[in-house]
Amino acid sequence: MKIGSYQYGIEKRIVCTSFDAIKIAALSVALTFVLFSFFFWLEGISPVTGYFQMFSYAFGTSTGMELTIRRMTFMLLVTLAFIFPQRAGVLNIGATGQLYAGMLAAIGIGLWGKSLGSSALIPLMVVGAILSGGMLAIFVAYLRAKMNVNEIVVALMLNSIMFYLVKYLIEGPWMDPSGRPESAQLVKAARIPMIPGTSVPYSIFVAIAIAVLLYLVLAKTSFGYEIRLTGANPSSARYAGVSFLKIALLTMFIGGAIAGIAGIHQTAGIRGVFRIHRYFALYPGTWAYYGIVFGLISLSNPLAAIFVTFFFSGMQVGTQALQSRLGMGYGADLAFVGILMIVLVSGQYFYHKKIVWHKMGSRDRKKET
Amino acid sequence: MTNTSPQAIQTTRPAVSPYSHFMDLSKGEKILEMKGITKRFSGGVVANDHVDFDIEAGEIHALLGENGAGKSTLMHILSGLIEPDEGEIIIAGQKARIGSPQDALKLGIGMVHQHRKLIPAHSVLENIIIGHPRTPIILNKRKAKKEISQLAQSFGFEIDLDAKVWQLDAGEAQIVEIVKVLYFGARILILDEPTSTLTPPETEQLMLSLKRMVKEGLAVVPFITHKLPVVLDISDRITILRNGKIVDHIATKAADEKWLARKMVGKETLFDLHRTEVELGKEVLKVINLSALNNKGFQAVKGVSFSVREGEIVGIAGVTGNGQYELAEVLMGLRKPTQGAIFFQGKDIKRASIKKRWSLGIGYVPAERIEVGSVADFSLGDNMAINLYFNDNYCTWGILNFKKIYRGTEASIREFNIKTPDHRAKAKEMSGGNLQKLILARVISCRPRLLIVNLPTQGLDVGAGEFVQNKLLQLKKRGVGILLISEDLDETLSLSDSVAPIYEGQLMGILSRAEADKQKVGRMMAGMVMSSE
Repeated sequence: MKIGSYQYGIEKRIVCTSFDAIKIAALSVALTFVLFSFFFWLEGISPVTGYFQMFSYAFGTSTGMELTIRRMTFMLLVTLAFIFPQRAGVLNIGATGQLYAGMLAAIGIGLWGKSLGSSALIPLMVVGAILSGGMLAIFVAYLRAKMNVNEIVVALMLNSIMFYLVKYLIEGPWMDPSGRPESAQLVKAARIPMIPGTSVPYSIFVAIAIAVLLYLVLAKTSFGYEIRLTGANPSSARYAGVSFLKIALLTMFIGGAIAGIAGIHQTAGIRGVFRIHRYFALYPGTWAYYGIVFGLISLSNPLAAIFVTFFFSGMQVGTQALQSRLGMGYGADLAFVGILMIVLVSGQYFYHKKIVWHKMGSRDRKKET
Repeated sequence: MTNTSPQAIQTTRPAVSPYSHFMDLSKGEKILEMKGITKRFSGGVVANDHVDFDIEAGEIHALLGENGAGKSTLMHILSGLIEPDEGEIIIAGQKARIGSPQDALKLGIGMVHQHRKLIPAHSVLENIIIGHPRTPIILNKRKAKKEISQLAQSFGFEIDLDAKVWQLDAGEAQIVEIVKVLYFGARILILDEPTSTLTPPETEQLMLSLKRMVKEGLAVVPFITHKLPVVLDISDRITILRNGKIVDHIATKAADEKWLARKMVGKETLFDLHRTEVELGKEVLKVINLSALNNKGFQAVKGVSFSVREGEIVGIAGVTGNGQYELAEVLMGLRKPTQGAIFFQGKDIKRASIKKRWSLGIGYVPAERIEVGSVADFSLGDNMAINLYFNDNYCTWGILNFKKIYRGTEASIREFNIKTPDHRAKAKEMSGGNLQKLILARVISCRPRLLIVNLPTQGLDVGAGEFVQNKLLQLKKRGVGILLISEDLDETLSLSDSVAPIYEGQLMGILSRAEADKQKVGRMMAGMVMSSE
């Protein structure tokens, strides 16, 4: 393509450095802002005002910031649940089901052990959530590694099964005594304590600690090396004596366990009850799918996931300000997040390709993303 | 990208016969010229530096050079896979722009790659007609079949058009690719290492066919790393590339092997193996009546028995596809045997895991350097850890000492003279020879007592190949038992203490170094005679 005296073309990108990846992500975000301006224009709002309101609410007010961090805790955990098995080349699409399994364990243990103190109850809930989320994931991994059953299909089916199990329990045996369509309230001892003076549960520190720990395991240990080797070249891993079965089971168990912890955060951390929302788009299980997208955006790096999920959670919370402060219609936040996802995922095309341009007649090449 | 040159040859050509502008050329006329071709890659590598090259009708013009000399780049430019930064290509007197392999085919240039690009599950006929510009939407297979078998016969190729491609061996698959590009109308045939996977009789057959093509006025450009005798036998002219530059053009009549090798490598250190006789020690490997299946479930290894002693090199000679890969994999634990026993230093290891075999002191250098032996996206240092991550010297309490591994990598880079900036370079940036050196260095760093090497020098240039062979001889001197699997008969004969030709999964006998002469082993490799034992 020719523009003026420049010739443009698309070439293969041989190496995508992390700097390239950040640049591509930043440009994608910028493009999203431009595209979403269309909705501001429809509503007669200046994009400058709109974006100012978004950012100032999400990162500039204490309510907004608390919401951002609470959302981030959840998003970071489900992202890590995807990333860890992904590094071994195993796809964990089942964070949704594992999350529900963790929630059920948390609610079940929380309702059963009302009389126990929190020092006994909370560890019990954590162990329960880890085991239930992890075992659900191991089931998928075993079928994959031992019988080569497609892990995506099994995980998606399990997600559905787990949802209906949750629905049955919440609207049945565990229903709130008053008859509201939600679970009975957890007692105070079964709630994750909040950071003093805020409504942010301590689970944010757990999430960040897990991210750092996973990073260290991958980078420094021989177990992490086996995982990276399996993910980068399964034939080499086999040649080197790595057991795929062992790696698949362990990474999936850990991934499932982390999704299970997200389940505790979502029940015992935030509300203390579990309600099935009227809108499918607002089920926590649906939100869990964002973990896959954030995992891909972070290029499966647990440390990058901390920043990625913080920013995106801020954007999600910020768009809610468009409804409350600027009176935009319901769903503006979902529209923004939707556009952002599509642009970012499309932007990944440029991980493998780059635009090059050079002046006609000259051979000096310059690169642009 | 759009076509910038409106005078491009495609628009002026008659549409019916894509290569009619070659038809009236007589032998000896220039049909293609490349002038001042320059190609730079990222990282400052100049793969082609103002290269001039031409092709005449009716000749075999061999392009010779070591790995990394720029042969592939030049031929990829000609076949439209890479665009040059500078220079021009002139075809039949007109400047041409070759933007894609399709463009190249339209101009009559067809490339046969060393890595076959056929679809295994489809028949030979389907593979040949797929993508042909004249193939209509509804296939007329009968007509195509007639045309193709006539074409093949006219050049002396024997192919079964109804066979599935996965049933073919490497030589047959290459013939299919040659027939395919001929059927597409190629007048210039570019062959990448055409004889590297052929048995001696197959090589002869191919040479006859090539000579027939040349008589018809086609031009053939084979590009070759080693096997200099083949070059001398078939070509009319030879062009030698080194470090991206043309070193010399010569008429084949005036060339000899020594001279060509010196021009290719740039120095005179060839055919120089430091082989010393070593007192053979205890048996390190004993294999009794071993059998195994291949991936398709057929018997690939059939009742093989042999042993390897300390300081001994046992050469398994054979053409790929006769069970050598499966044999190596069974010994390493990557494949389950169906019967038989394996003893390492007297212990039965039939049930030992792969990791256990590594820690016992068995090392394996696979033939698939890129697919198995290394990880393309890992740095050299991380590649080095492939066989070290479970080694107690590098790993305490599950924490890997990457610093130590990287230091070891740097030492190996120096010792093995691996050309790379440092251990942080990615494996995919390495040439085949450097990659093989790295793999060998890594396996040696595990201090194996038994080393299994599969095709250790295949595709390597003369210098790197010789380096690897000398390393094997050094290990022999240190008392390591070596099982050498190779297709290169000269290599097997010059290195081995005993030679076991393999044919269809069976060892045709085990010959001592003195008994093994080239003709005898060559015949046994082709399954012709059994040894008298």
